[in-house]
Amino acid sequence: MLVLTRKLGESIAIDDHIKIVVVQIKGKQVRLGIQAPKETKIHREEVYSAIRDQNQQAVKSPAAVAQVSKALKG
Amino acid sequence: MIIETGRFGQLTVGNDETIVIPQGILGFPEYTRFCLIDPADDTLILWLQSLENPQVVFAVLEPKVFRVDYSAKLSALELRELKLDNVNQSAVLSILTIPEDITQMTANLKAPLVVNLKEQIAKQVVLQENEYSVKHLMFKELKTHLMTIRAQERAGAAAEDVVPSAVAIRDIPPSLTVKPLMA
Repeated sequence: MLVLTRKLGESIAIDDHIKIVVVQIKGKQVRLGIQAPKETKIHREEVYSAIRDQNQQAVKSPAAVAQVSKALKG
Repeated sequence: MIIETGRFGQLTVGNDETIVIPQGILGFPEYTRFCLIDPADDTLILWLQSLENPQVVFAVLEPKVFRVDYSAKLSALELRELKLDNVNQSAVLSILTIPEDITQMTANLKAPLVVNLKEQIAKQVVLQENEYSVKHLMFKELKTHLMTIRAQERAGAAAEDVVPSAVAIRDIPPSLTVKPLMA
């Protein structure tokens, strides 16, 4: 992983179109501003862990197929 | 080929019924080959079954069934990964989580599975929209929808094949739900 040190107000450019600015530093929190083309998808990493957890739960479903159809059609 | 499944016993799956998910489902990167099983139970729920692990199977459902205005906006990169030059040749499926209390079933609207029906490849895509939850309750809506369909079809009810079988991917109707994420 590339590690860079930045001060408040400084930024990082990724390719030509993406800019990440350190907007605020408060204790253990850092606020980042992100400038990117509209079609770039930007997510907090927690979104991915929530989806992974949800997929794990989906596979563990205890309901049998027949029970599911019965509940839906009953 | 004949595959073992945890929920449906042995099934025959041909090339036409195979979907490749090169990056796997999030949290399950090791499984990349799947098929869609229709249990023929008239619930509209299909089961995305791993061809590599009998226990890895996800209930999936077209989200438009319970969320009419649903759309999946894909970035240029995602469209490329899916080899989707025509978004109208795709289907969108939400992964369902079905707990013991079936009425509490939820759909993952945030990260749907987008399938290129022609190329038979798919990807679990993470959407940008904050209003789409990973746990959207939808039992009531699905049940109501099924009741409406049954009421309409009652006249011509024929004896149906009730054997679970793998679905030919190219025969799945396109969802018309995928849109390019435009600047």
